[in-house]
Amino acid sequence: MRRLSVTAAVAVALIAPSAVAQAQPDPAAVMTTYADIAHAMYADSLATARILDTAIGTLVSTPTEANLAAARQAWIEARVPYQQTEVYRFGNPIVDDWEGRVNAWPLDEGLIDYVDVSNYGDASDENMFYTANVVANPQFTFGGTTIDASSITPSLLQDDLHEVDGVEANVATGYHAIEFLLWGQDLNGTGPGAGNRPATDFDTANCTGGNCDRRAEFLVSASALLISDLEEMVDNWAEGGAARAEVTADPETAGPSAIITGLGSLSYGELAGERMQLGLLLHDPEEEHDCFADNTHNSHYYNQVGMTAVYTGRYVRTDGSVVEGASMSDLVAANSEELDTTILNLMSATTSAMQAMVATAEGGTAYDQMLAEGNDDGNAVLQAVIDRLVDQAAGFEEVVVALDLQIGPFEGSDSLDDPDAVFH
Amino acid sequence: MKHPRIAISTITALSLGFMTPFAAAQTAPEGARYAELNDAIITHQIAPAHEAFAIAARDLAAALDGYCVTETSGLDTVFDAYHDTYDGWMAVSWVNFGPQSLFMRPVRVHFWPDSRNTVGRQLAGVLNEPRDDLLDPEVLASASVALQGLPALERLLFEGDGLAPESYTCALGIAIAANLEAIGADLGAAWSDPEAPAAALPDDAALTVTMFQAAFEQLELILTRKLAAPLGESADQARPRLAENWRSGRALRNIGVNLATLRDLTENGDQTGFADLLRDAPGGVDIADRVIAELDAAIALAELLRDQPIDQLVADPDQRANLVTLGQHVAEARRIWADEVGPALNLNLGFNSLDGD
Repeated sequence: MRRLSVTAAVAVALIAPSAVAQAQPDPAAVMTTYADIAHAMYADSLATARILDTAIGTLVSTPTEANLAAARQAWIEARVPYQQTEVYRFGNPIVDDWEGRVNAWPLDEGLIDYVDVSNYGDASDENMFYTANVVANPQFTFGGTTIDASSITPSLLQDDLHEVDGVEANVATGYHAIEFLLWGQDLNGTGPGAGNRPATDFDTANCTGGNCDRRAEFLVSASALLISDLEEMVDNWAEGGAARAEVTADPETAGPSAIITGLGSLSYGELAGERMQLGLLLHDPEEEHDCFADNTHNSHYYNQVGMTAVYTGRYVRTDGSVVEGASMSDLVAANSEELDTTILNLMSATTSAMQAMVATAEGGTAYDQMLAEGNDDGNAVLQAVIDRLVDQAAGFEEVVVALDLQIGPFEGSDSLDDPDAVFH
Repeated sequence: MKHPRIAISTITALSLGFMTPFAAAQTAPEGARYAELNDAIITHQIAPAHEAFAIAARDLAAALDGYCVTETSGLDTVFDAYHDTYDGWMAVSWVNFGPQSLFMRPVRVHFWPDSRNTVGRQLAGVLNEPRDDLLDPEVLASASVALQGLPALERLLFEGDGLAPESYTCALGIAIAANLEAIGADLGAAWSDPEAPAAALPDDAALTVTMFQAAFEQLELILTRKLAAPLGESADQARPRLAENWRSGRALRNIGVNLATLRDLTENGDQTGFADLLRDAPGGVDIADRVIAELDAAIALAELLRDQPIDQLVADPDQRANLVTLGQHVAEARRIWADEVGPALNLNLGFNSLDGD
């Protein structure tokens, strides 16, 4: 299931190698640009996460509605550079292995804090920790596993709670755990409105929701972890970093293959499929990527902005400065200008469809309303984005053929889903 | 976040059906051979399998109507029809192209895996506050895919108090079966019309690539979702509820039907299969023999284990070992398919729809 039709993709004519071509750029320069943009994107993600951390510090020391609103705004701004980095995830095993710590999704938020069970349910076939509520429970035991959560430290979140019992929906770290703590559940279904947690949930003197001290502790620890995780990834892309070394080692084949794998896999299986088509098929707000904050339209849009930056070799930083250089686009154009133009047009069409989605959300119809059953107009806005992403992925497959690249090989995962863990 | 991704190290030339100008010619089959294979698979496998599914779905709707409304058939008849319908679906579930690409048909019939318990959650909502509009199959057809297919019907039949005649549950079951009957009829008609399957199919080598990739993704799904996930890393960490259709005891039965279908794609008596093209390629005889042997070994184990409850299979040491052996055969078949069959026939895999989180 979750299949996106290949036949729905635009058929783009195969360009013969003899078609008009530009001068061949230096492949090493292309890979250097790719690594430089990664470094800048992760550095911007880190800088905005530090601003978020400061806002969270202010919120827990002075839990007013204004300070909660400021922290939420800082979270939304921190998502802008981070979502652009997701184009680096597939194709770079160092990123993919790390990604689950910072952007794991979807999550069973009942692990973290109180939930409305009439909306969320009180049990799951797949997750014993579905309503474990760490904020309320200093110690708990499930199926023989006892966890001492008397102190909610970064190491408790990362080592003991995150993916506890091997269940990926047990998310205790990263942007979405922080998002849940800042917004709370969105109890509006496919109607208007986002999560509406009161600031007093962090007010030990006038506490709502219970255990305000522990809730604040969870939030502060999750924020600290986000910063240390992002620092690690900035280092990986700095001069001498491991991720930079990997992509620059073979600039002829392995490097460009990593670029195109990241572009194609994010466009197709991940964004068009898992994050968008599935939610639309289910008409289910639980399938919204930034479901607590109702920020999903921006998260998807900035994925596309990041893909465009990587393909064209031009990234506009959060401070407005530009990192640019020789690009994948140049490499493709050197093979066939026509194919490069095709790709740029496909990407531009996706960006336009994304912008229509953002405009719809900003016009008052949030993403979870767009995907509602019976909202034909909203459904069509999302389907248009999905269709353009599939077209775009088909274009990237043509680049694979034209430049004789390889898709993958992808790193195996270390989860229980990994057949190698069981069958070898 | 993390799901298995695929180690394919041999992708070089062909994707979405485009032949590279140089690498192809020397050992690759002629275009006519691809067309012959495509025609054989569509005419002798895909079309009749869809006919069988359409008939089973029609009988299921009749059985539910007989049980719930006229009370002329018993629950056993409903269960038999349910299993026949699922057997029918599992024989076509590898197909993800052509008429399947229209109207989201596959996922409406069988939404799985359901990693977030969406079927359970949405169905509970509907049963707690019955929605009469969903009893109209046309309304149901555009509602959530979690509510309108076989997994929802499985819960109605095998969970809780089961079906009581004249209940809302029974009426919803009838609507689901009517929806399945309609999808089955549309798919059956689309695949049986040799002139115009409703969605245009690619030609020759491009269609063969599409089938090759679809078969690969089916092997991947069997291995990672249907076997590895419920097995877990040890008997203590087994997760039988991640198995497919565990509520109706079909986990291994589904795998057996899936694998038998893939074997037929490879070799199907007098009709052309992938093995026939392989045998014309250098080294291909050995490749064909090995992939068939792996599939046969896996099918034999799936048959052996078919009627054992999955929760016992994953926990009992001997049975667990059998399941692991089954998985090893599937894993080897998958490896041969990607690393040897593809290059021998000049067929290559593109971006995988199973990539996402």
